Amino acid sequence: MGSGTRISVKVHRRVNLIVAEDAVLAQELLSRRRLADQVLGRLTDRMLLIRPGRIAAVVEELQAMGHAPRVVGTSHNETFDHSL
Amino acid sequence: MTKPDSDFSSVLADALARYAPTLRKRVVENLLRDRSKLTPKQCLDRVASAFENVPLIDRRIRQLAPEALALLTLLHVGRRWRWPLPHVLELACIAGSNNSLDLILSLCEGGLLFVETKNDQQGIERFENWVPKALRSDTDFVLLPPRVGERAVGISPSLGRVAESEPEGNLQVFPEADGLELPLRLAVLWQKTRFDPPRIKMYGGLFKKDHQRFEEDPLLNGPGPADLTDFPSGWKWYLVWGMATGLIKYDADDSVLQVARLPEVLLHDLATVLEKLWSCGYEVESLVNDSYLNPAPLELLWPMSAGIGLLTALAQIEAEKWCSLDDLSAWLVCRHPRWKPKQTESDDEAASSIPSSLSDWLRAFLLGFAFPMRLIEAAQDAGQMWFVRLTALGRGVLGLGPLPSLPQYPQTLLVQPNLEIIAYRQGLRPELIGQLSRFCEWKSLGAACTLQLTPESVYRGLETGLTHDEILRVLQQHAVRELPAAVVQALKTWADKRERVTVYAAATLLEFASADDLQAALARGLPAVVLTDRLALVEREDDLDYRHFRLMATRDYGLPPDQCVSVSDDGVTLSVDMARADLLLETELQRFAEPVPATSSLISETRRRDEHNRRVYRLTPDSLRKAREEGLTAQMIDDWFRRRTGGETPAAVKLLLNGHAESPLRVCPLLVLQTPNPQVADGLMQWPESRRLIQERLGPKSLAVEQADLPALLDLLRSVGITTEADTGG
Repeated sequence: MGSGTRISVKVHRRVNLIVAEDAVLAQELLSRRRLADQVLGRLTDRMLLIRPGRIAAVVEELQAMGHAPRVVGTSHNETFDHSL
Repeated sequence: MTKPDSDFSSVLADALARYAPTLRKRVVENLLRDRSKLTPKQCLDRVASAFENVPLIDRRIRQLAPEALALLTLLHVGRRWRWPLPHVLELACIAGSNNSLDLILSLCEGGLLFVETKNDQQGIERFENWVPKALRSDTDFVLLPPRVGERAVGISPSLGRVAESEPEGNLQVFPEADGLELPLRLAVLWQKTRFDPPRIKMYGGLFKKDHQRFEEDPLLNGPGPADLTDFPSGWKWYLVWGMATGLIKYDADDSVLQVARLPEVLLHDLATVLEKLWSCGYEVESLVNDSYLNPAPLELLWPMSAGIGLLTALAQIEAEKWCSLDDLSAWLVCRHPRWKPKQTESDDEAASSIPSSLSDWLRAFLLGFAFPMRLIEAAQDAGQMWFVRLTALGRGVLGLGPLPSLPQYPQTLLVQPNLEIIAYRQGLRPELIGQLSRFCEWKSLGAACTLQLTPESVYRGLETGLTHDEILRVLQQHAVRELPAAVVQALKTWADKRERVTVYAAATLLEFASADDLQAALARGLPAVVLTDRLALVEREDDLDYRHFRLMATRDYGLPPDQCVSVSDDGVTLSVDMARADLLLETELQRFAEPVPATSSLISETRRRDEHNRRVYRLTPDSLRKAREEGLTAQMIDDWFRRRTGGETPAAVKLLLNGHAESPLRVCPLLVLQTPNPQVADGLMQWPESRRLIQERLGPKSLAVEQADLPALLDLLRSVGITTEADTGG
């Protein structure tokens, strides 16, 4: 690809994610029932896709588990809910 | 002034732009004494440069009447340049004017005050026409150019001398306060509100739980070391200050009080913080009068204009001399519109009958507010009479003198191995209070304050943007001795823990068509974290240089999911439009469907050619059984079909999904009785004699009959004259 060619890309905005330090920790998070309920899927071995609008609940649950999650950015629209 | 002058320049330019041309021309001529023709742009430039010309401003000010000079001084002492007109009218009255409005308008005509309006589309033709609106509006203001206030103070205007009674016997002088009481309480309030934002009831006031929590909090309600009077402070008082300074905001959407991300108002030196707090006095006054916080007992402290007048009057007294509260009451009663007597009464008569409301207000304001703010010193004589005078810091904060250099004690924290911190108050300053509030929890306030480091407090500090190194540096800089190893280790452990899990509340993901494209983007400096061979995460979308990219599609996850799946006629093959699909879709589909390889015969030639844009999935008995085992219900799948395809769940999927729950199917031989037309079939179904011999109606002209019932049915038909013939094939 030439340096002047524009690269085709699809942009996903306002995605809610958990990124764990390693795969074992991600698995540990998934084994927590109340957290797993908020997870839509596992994007990679250490990356979990969260249901939109559930950031506050996820952070609260992580803290209840004894973690101190770094929260990056704020969600401007937390009202919509994916039910699956 | 608290606000930088650069802010004022732009506000002044906007304000002048709303003057009608004739008015603007007149004001500029009066200020500059220059009758040359100027364009609007030249007017603005000349006025802005006039306020840099000190001799010019001095000349104009020296030509003013004493009460005009006094008004400019009072406005300057208020430490703000934007004033609501009613407050300026009060100050003009204190300045000694018999016609406050004329005084203000003459200063506006002379270009030493300006008016700001937001709503007047026509432009201001005459200041007199603007006044009625300004008295009602909360978007119209009088503007004091900072330079004018500074120069007016330098010319020493007279507000009328305050009598100087001698004290009885020796004065007992109370130690000067440190000015930290309000900053400390605001820091505590910021923490408590941040940890658990209180909710506001529909008709005002805090919810009972939050009200009780604040009411019982010793840090927000306990007496301060510098209390000289039973001033009605407490949490409501500090809450009002928190809101006035922008530390706390009312979120009307959620009916909750939210804190600013940082305790910004505290992160400065003492003089700047005190000046900022003092300048917010009018906001406090309006909040105290506002009903939704229900801070009724606090109205004792105001009006603020009286406070400004009082401290300005004190500044006229020699620095070393004391002034009694009685003398100040006598001075104020003749000047402030709230207490000023009727015109028939002479000043001497008025001074001899001080209303109790004024005495109460004076005592509360001076001893309960100005003294702990370190604006004044206080003393009592042998007859228990109170005397006050301005502190050097007070003169500096009010803009009436130079700021004194205050002693600094940078090493003021004793950090103990049990993670408790003792902060010796004489070394504290607002900036340190603000920094500590971000990562320590206040436990007690007093001559020595205590704070506690906890995992939660450190975590919250990191959430405000502090790093582990910055926390460590604050403690090391201010600790009286080396930090205990246990504290250093605990901070490291807690900070590391935070790095283990990151939650992205609104990340931007870039999905590339191929791994090569992603690598090419990285080579061009894409500031992203690689997640997979085709996906990358960008923390700040503003950092993206879109000139390198061609957007194929954009998905916003804050919006409802797109309908990007179509269902084939077979009901179990799903085709995904990848341009409209989101990341959630694949994870959703993987829970109940299987991807179909592009080479599969299930994919049509047309779709195969469109491979980049479409992906095919198929629902199978196995995939649906797995979905059921993972807890997916028929209702959830039905919702998914409605959201993603816009239609109902196909019958084939329902069959695969619910087939196991249906009653067993029955297999049996049946004969079909065909009628020549539907009317005969209707008759057989309706006539009770024949109906009992028919199993069910299969169609308009077809009826099912059991082999055993056939002879009886044939007999019955013959009895009514209907003949039958048997199908030879049967």
